[in-house]
This record gives sequence, structure tokens and C-alpha cells, in this order.
Amino acid sequence: MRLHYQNWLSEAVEVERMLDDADIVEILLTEINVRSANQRIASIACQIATSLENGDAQLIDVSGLSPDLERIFVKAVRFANSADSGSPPL
Amino acid sequence: MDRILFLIKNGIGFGHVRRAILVGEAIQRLEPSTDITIISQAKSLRLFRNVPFKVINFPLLDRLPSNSTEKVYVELLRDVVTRLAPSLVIEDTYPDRRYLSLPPLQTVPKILLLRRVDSYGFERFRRENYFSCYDRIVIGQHKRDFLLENHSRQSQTLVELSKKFIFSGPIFRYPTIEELHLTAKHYEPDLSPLIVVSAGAGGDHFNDAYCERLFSSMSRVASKSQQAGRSARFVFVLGPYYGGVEPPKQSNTTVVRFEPHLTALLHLAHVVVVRPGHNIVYEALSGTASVIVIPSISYMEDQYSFSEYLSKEYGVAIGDNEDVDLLFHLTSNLLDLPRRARNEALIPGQDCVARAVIEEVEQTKELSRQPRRVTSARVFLLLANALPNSLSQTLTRLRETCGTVHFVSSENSGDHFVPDLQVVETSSPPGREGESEFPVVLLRSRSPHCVTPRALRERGVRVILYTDGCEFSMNCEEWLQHHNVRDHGMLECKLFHFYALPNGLMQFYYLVPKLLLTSSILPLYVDLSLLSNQSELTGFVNALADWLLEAGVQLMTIQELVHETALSKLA
Repeated sequence: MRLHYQNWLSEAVEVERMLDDADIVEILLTEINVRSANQRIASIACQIATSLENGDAQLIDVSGLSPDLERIFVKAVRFANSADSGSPPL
Repeated sequence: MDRILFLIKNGIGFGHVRRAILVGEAIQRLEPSTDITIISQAKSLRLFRNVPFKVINFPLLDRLPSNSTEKVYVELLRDVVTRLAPSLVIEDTYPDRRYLSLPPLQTVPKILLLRRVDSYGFERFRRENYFSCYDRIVIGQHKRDFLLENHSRQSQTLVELSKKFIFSGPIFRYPTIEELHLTAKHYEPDLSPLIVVSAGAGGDHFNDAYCERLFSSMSRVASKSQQAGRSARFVFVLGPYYGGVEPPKQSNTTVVRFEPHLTALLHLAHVVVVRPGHNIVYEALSGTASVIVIPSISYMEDQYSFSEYLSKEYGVAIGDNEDVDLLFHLTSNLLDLPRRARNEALIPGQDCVARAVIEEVEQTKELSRQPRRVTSARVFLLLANALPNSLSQTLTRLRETCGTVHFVSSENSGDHFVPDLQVVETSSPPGREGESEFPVVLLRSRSPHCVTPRALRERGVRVILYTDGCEFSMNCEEWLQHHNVRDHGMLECKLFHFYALPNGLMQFYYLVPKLLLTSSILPLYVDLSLLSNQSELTGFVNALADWLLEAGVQLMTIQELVHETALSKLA
């Protein structure tokens, strides 16, 4: 069983731990992690807005937001420069 | 610079995205300095390529794997929108509770851009009070066509008498000369006439595999056409959302997943076979191809009656996915006819929408330039959720302006036994301290089901303030329906939940006249949680004090509010 911690939002917690095979068990967010999450989300939102304002990114796709929040910024692309593939490069 | 924010969802066709882009371009033609930003929930980003706007794409929030994931996304959406600080918001067709309940959008002017929906869908929006959430509703139809739709009498009366509804006519675009040239080079319509088959983005309304049946039937028509020796090329544009089986390759077919110049292709075609979605139909009708529509069950579109209308008004043919012989017969007959004459009466409606948007923005700006005096109004303010230890530093100015100020501090967040309460505190000018006559609490909506009226009464509470801002669990309004606090000698009073934003007081200028339409008393809960530092907090509170002075607002004390509430609810 693969134990997938949904409280990845707390930086202090190990993101995921491999156990047996493929089932996913979700652990609900605790109050303290919600608070921590809010701060991180606010910071991400700020970076998104700033990236757009500064012209660093024309299109930001957060639809693939994964447990690792930092990845969404890898998806920020200046679309005019992107490959002709239909989806932004990772 | 004004910022117009489009909020769209997209999972079946291209219409929502296309309309946002076309209206955004029209706005920038009229007001080039306007910033256009799109927040979408789209599965494909292809249509956003080369769009001169900023785009933030979220997943479809209806289809996330868990509640916690949804919560994270909604939080992110809220914070992004707070920072974008739009001047006006445009939603497309389907009002979304997630968008409407975002705190930073509750006090921003909103326009609903409504493509044609059938009479049942329209009635549903009306009965669920969605139209009341918007300042204007722009319908992408002509009024005469709307009135042909068999809407209920109530809906017709609302549209005709409320002054809220504007008709723009259909929103679509004509291809440019360059697009026509490029597309003609690629598909070579001069070698053999083109029959273009498309269902827009290729998504299905329901589990009926409409798109697969369309492409499968038309693939058989292509086969029959070849056997009959007819010279024609069938171009299947599947769309990025198409998940069915691809039509088999034949010598007279071309299959593409996505065509960026679809409008040009529709104009170059001799015959177009489409699902009667509002967007693609008008893009096809604005050209010279003969059009066959194939209706099916749909979400709020009633494609059958729309197809009948298109048949009467524009002479389109109506096909059936299950009847290949009929489709072959229609296609062959239309191939033998000359191209249609261009319908000069079809004029795109996006300029009309853009004018309505700019007018709405100007009206709101006018309110901020000349705040209306609202001396007839009486306002009660309760400040809350400031950063820890920050509020007391900013209250001095407000107290000088308004006298007594009521607040709940973040340090005082309930007791061990009743954690859902916050005691309302009062900051009074010298000489007026200790005026409070009765213990007043704010009932927080985080988990009010933990509280009982008896527990409140045992703590000496006489007055309960509450707001409708609810994050989790049962909200206070529901709790009060199940617990009659008046039987326990207490009185409840609802406050309007107002979120202070860092960009000043535009929301106040917009909100107060609107609320005064329904009441001369405004009890406001001013939630300061979205102000992230002392400077933003001080800026907001000082601007609030200035506005109170300038507008001549009469502030109520908690005692006055309670007296009025007791009279109105108990007398």
C-alpha cells in the first residue's frame, strides 16, 4: 500500500512514504496544516500575479498542481516561445 | 488601468473560450489600455495560443479527486483574484458558486455573458436567483430570437422590465484574408470541394458518444461518396476533447485533431456538417457553405428546437447521426448546389458586449470619483480578523472620525468550552468608555454546531452577531434555524460579510448604494483577513475613515443596532 500524505502542505512533514503497493490512503488536513497551507498558497498566488504583471509569463497552468507545489512554476511559460505542441512544456 | 477578468469553464466545446477571446479583443479595440486577464478551467490550452491576454488555467474544479484538493485550489483562486484586483468580472453562461462566493469578487461589478440557453435552463437560473448576482446580463442573441424560445412569462417579464438584460446578437468572428489563404493552401478546396465535419472541441454533453457517432456516420458517408464516384474531400476536425475512436483513413478523407483556423476552413468548405453549438454554427453561417446540423440531447441547449429555428431562419438542413442514407442524400444534394450567398445581416455581437462592459466600468469609476452622500443610511461596523496585534495601532484614526469602534480581536478567540465565539469589544473615545449594556458575541461559522443556546446563555450572552461567511460545516444561518435563541432570552443579528481588499475602497463605493436599495440600515462585518501587512491595514482603515466623513455616513453603535433589531424582530 502506498501511503500518500495529503498534509504535504506542511513543510515539516515527509511528503510521501512508500509501503506496499498501489492503494492511496488520504489523510485529511489538520488545522495546523491548513494554516501553513494558507501561507504557502498566498505566497504562490503572489508569485503568479507578479509573474503576470512583470511579463515573465503569459500563461500559467496550475491544472496539474501536484503535491509538490513548486512544480507549477516550472509550467509557467511564455507561450509565444513555447513549442508547437498544444500544451506547455514541463 | 482597468483590469477586466474573465472567469470561464470549458469542457465540451470551444464557445466559452472563444467568446472570452473575442470580447476581450473588442474591449481592447475600444479601450487599448485595458488589461484583459482570463482565469479558465480548461482541459486544453490550444485556443489560448497567441492570445494577447494573460491566462491562468485551473483544472475543472468540479472534477477533482478529493475535497482537500478542491479546497487548496479554491484558496489559490481566491488569493490570485485578490492580487489581480479586477475592476470588473465577466462570467460566461454558467454561473459558478465557487466564483461567485470568492470574497474578493463579492464587491466587484459582475457581468454574466450568456450564450443562448434553452427555456428550462434560463428558468433554472432565474429560480435559483443567479441573475441577481450580476449587475448586467448580456445575452448573445437578438431579442426577437430570445422571445421565440418559449421562455416562461416570468422570465420574459424579468428580461423586459428589469433593465438588467442586454442583447448583443451572436458572438463569432470572420476569418482574416491571411487565414483563408493559409488554410486554402493546406486543404486545397480548388482540387475538390470540402465537406468539413466538426463538433467544436469534440467533448460530449452526456455519455451518448455523440461525437463518435457523428464521425462514424460521416465516415460511412465518405465511403458511400467514394463508391458513387463523387469528387469531394471530407475533413474531420476531431477537437482536443474528442476521446472516441478515430475515423478510419480513406483516400477522400483528412483527419485532424485540431485546426487553429477552423473558422477559415468552415468558410472554404462547400458543405459543413456540425453539432449545432452556438459558436460553430454562426461561424459556419457567416460563410458561404451549405450547413447541415445534427442535433442531439444537450446540456441547457435544446439543440432540436435550435435546429428547427436555424432551418427556418437560415435554411440549414437537419441530419440524424443514425441515418447514414439521409446524411449521404443531404450531402450529395448540397454538393450539387452552388455556394450560398453571404448573409450580410449576420453581424458579430462582441462590439456590443464590449461597449456594455466599458460602460459598466465607467459607472463604477464615477461612483469612486464622487462618493454619494448617504446621510439617510445608518451603518454599523464590526472590524475583525486583522493580523495579530495590528488593529489597535490603526483604530485611533477611525475612533477620531467615528467615535466608538467595535471590533473582535484575533487574540480573543473564544474560550475553552465554546471555541466558536468571539467577544465583541468596543474602543470608545475618552469619557465614553463602558457604554456597553449587554454582552455581545460574534458567532463564528467554522463549527457552530458545537454550540448550544444554553451554553451561550450560561455565559451571560444576550446578543449574537453572525455573518454568512462560512467555510466549513453548517453555517450560522442554518444553526439558527435549528436553535431558537430567542426562547433562551437572546437576540440574533446578521451582518453583511465584507472582505477588505488591499486596493482601497472601490468595493465600498460599489457595495453601499447597492445594499441601500433594500435597507436603510447596513450592519457590516469588515473582514480584514485578506490584508497581509500593517501598511495595507492602515491604508484601508484610513481610507474607510475618509469615506465615512466624505459620504456623511451616520455610524450606529452596537446599542442602537440591538435596539433596532429588537424592535424589528420582536415587536
